[in-house]
Amino acid sequence: MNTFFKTILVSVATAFCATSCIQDEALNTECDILSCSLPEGYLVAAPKVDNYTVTLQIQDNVDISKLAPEFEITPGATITPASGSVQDFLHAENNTINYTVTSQDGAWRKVYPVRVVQNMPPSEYFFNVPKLDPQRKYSIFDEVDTDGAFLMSWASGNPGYVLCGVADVEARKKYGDSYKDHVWEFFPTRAVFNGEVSLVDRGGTTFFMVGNEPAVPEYIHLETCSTGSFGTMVGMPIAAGNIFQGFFDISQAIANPRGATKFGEPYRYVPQTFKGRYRYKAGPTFTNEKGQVEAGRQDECSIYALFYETDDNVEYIDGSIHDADFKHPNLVAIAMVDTKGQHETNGWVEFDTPFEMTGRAVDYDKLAHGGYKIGIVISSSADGDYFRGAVGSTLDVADLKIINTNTETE
Amino acid sequence: MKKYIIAFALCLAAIGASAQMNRTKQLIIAATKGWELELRLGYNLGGTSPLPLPAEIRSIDSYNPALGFSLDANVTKWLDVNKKWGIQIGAKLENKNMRTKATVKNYNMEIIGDGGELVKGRWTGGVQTKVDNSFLTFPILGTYKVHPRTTLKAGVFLSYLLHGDFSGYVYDGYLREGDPTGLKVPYTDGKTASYDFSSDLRRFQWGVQIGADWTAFKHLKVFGDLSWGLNSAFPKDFETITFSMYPIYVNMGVGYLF
Repeated sequence: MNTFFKTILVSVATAFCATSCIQDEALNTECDILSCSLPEGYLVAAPKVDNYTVTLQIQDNVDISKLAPEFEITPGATITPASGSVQDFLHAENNTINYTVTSQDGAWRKVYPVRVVQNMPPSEYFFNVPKLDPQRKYSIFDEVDTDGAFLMSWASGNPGYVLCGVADVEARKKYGDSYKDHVWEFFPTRAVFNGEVSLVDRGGTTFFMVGNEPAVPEYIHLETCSTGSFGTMVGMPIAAGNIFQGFFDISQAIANPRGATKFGEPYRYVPQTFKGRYRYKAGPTFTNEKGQVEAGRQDECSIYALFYETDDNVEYIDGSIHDADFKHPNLVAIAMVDTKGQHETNGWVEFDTPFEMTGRAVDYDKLAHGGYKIGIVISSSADGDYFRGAVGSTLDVADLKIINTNTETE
Repeated sequence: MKKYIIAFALCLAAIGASAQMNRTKQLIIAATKGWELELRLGYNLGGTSPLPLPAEIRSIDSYNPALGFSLDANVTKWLDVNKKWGIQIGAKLENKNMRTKATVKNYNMEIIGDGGELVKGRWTGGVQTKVDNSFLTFPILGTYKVHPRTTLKAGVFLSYLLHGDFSGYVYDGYLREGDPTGLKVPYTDGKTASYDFSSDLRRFQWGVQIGADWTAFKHLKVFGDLSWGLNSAFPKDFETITFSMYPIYVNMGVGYLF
C-alpha cells in the first residue's frame, strides 16, 4: 500500500509541475505605428502619431510626390506599404496614403491614414469637418479650407473619457438598444448643429453630414461630465469639456494629466487679437479632485490662446503651464479672455482679446519655417485640468478667429 | 469569519464537555462499534490559480500565503474489526487565502463600475490579487490504516462559501482599450486601478482531497491534507477572467483524538 501512496504523491506532484509552469510567450497582438521619421529639414513640426492616424507637417519646398517616410512599429508586426518605400503623396487623395500594420500573430491589423500637410495653418476656425473616432464613440473636428484641403485637427480630452465608460451607460439610458449612434452626445466635447444631421460612413470614417456635405457646427458645446467610479478611482472624478489646438497624448493621461494636453499647431503669423463668442453657465455643485463638494465655490470657464517659439527642448507647451501661472520661457504672447468670476453669461458674449507680448523677440525667418506655434485652449471648467469643477457646467463657443499683425507679409 | 470560528469552537467545546462527562462510558461504547471522533486545528497554505497557467501570465513576482486557518471536527467509522478500512466525514471552517503579484501580457479584462460602466480591454503589466475566502467544508473520505500510527485518506470535499474576497489592483503597465488595436493607456508612476470580483465568486465549490495523519501520542495527531478544487472559483458565465481558477491548498495541523 505504501507504493500506492507514493504513486499518488508522485503523480500529483508531476501534474502540479506540468500544469503550473510558465508557458511560452504568445506572439504579439499589437499593431501600432510607434513613430515616423523623414530626412532632416523635411518636417515643420514633429510628426503627430496617435493610435489611428499619422499627420506630417511638411516644409513648402519639399517634393511630396516622392516621400519615403520611415516607421517604427510594434516589434514583430509588419507594415505595408513598406517602411522607407517611396510614395506619391502629392497625387494621393487628400494627400493621404493608407498604411496597414499587421500584428505578429496575424490576428489584428490597423489601417493608418498617413497624411501630409503643406497648407498654411488657419487663423479662422469653423470646425467644418466633424467626424467620429474609429470606434464611433466621440467627436473629432478637422479644419479644411474652401477647397476641402485639410489644415488641422482639433484635440480634446474625449479619448480619455472613453476609458471611464460613462457615455455608453448614459446613451443606453436615453436611447435603449439603438444607443450606439448616440454615444457621442454624452462626451464632454461635441458640436451642436443647426438642423438635421446624419452619420455617414465614408471610407471607414463616420462623418456628420447634411445631405452630401460635411455638417458645419453652429457652435462647439463643452460640458463638464462625471467620470463615474472608474474616474474617481484614478483621482479624476470629472472631465471638463475642452478643445484645443495640439495633441492629446493619452499615454500620459493617467500619470500626468496636464502633461497629456500638448498645446499648439505650427503658425506662421504673429497674432494680435483673439476673437470669438461664448456662452457659459456653471454647474450647480462644485467638487474637488476627490469628488468632495466645495460649498460656496462656483465654477468658471477658461478661454485663452498661447503663441510660443519651439526649440530643441520645447516641442509643445503643455497643460502644466497652468501650474506655472501661465508663464513659460518660450511664450511670446498670450491672450487670456477675461472670464474670471463669471458663473453665468447673459446669452452669448463676444470677446476681442489682445495678445499680451511677454517681451520675447520674434525671429521672423524661423516664423516663416514654422518654428512657432499657436495654441487655442478652451475648457468648461477653468480648473478641470486639476479635476476641480462642477458637473453640468456648459460652455458654448463659436466664430473663433485670430487677427494677425503680419498677415499681409504672408 | 471570526464569528463563525467562535461559534464553531463553542459548539465543539460543548460537545467536548459532554463527551468529557460521559467520556469513559460513551467512548468505550463508540470505540467498540468502530467510531472515532477527532478535533483538528490547521493552517491552509496554497493558492487559487488557473491550471495550467495561461500564456498571458509571464511571471509570478510574489506570493504570500497569508493567514488561513481551519478548524474541523470529523468522525471515522471503521468498517472492519482490524480498523484498517474506514469512512470519515467532517465539518470544517476554513480560510483559503493568498496574496500574489504577477506580470501578465495581453490579459483580457472587463470591469463593471458602480454605475454599470463597462471598461474592457487587454492589460499588460502587474496584477496584484488578494484572495480571502471563508468556507464551510464537508470532507467525505475513505481511510486506510497503513501502520498502527499512520492513516491515509482520500475522497471529496464539498464547500460552501461563507464570505468571499477576491480583489486587487493593476499597476505598472498599460491597458489597450477594447482590444489590442485600441487606445494604449499606461498606468505608471504609482497609478493603479482596482478591481473587486468578490460578489462574482461561486458559492458551492467541490474537489478532491488526499491526506495522511500520524498519531504522535495517544490522543495527539499531526496531519497533512491536499485539497484540489475541481470547479472554478468563478461561474462559467463570468467572462472577466477567461480561464478557470482552482483553489489548491495544503492543510496542515494537529488533531485531538477522543
